[in-house]
Amino acid sequence: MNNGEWHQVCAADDIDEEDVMGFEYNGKYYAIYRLLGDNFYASDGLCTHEQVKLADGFVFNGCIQCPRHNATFDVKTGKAETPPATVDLRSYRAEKRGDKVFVLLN
Amino acid sequence: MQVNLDSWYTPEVDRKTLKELSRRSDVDGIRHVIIYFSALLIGGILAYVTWGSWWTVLWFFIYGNIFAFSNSIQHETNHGTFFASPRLNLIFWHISSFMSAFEPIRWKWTHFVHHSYTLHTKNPYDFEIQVTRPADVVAFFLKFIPFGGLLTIHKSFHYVHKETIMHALGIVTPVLQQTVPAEEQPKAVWWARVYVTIWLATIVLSVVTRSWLPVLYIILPNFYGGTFLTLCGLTQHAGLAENERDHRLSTRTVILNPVLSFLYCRMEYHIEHHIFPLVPCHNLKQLHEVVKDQMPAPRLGLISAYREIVPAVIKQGSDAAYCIQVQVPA
Repeated sequence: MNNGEWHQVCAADDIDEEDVMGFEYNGKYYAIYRLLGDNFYASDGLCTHEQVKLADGFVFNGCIQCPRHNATFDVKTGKAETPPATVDLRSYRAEKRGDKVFVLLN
Repeated sequence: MQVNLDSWYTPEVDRKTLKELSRRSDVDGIRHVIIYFSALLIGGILAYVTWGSWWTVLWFFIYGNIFAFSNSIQHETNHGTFFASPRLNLIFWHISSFMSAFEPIRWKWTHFVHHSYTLHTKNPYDFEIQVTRPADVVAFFLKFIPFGGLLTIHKSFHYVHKETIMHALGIVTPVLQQTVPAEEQPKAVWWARVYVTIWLATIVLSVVTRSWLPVLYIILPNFYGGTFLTLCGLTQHAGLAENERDHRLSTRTVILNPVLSFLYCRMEYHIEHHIFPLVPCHNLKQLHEVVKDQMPAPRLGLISAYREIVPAVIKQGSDAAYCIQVQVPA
């Protein structure tokens, strides 16, 4: 997961605590999450069940809920926690540098 | 399978408001089940103490109708939104699934499809369409009458008891094949066998004790007590458009009185539920207030709803393409 390049994605203030935002890079859709404090995480942006945009869902208790069927994924690990999702999300490293957020993308 | 959420109609709602409305609550869920099961218990006791008199018919009708509304708890726990606690959701999902004879694995997966492809008739087929077309008008009216559904069971391809028995026998029905992932199908068969075993044990108990009471309390409520649940449930989509990507055209919101609204777990706000299924049922009335300017006018009560449903279903008996034309705000 360390191979790749860091990309500036947004300003830290663009995302509220316990929230999610979507972004596209090279034609692929990703999601970036902010948990309490300045803890940022990133993953693929589409639910592994039916390819719904996770950025339309909500973050509660460290999990992102898919807006269509309530599949939940652990924001930190991408692990699929509840059905209908059975496949984990791919996670990416994210960091706050200054007032910007960067994500390590392959 | 791909679902493009952007292509479905979604009303404008402030994101923070929607997130607050999507927050789950153990308090709301626990309060609901305490009131619900207390009412069920009282109805059951009164049916028992009046056993042998004609009053028992009334109390079993009341008990059976409250019992049948376990289906509403099944639906909400199926979404995982009835409680904040996953464990409480799981416990009451199993209890209410058994009560409503909804084998939980089948109904979990068909409900995912129902939300992805509401009232879609192909690719994939929504197995939760309540009134298929051309409408069987006689079967439609029999649904409201105690034991009426049994008279048309031979035509029904997913009558819950019949289907569960088929799954228990290892028969792979179309609904199992088309909606439940292969790795989940053995679980559906296992749960179907558990349900059928309990049903058989209840029947044996009735025979051995020479009493109708076990079957009247456990198996038959869904047959004799489904009237009010059906009255509420068929308002969801009956008469409306199929194969649309706008829930306002395929789904109906009805304003119910507080008692039915409680028993029905606020599912009368059905357009809102379909568009925002993450919002717990306890918050749907508030969500309705937020989005109502962007929704068709709700039907005010069951009588109002059936004034449009009954003529539409009768017409759909001879014209499968007919549907009610809904006026949506510009």
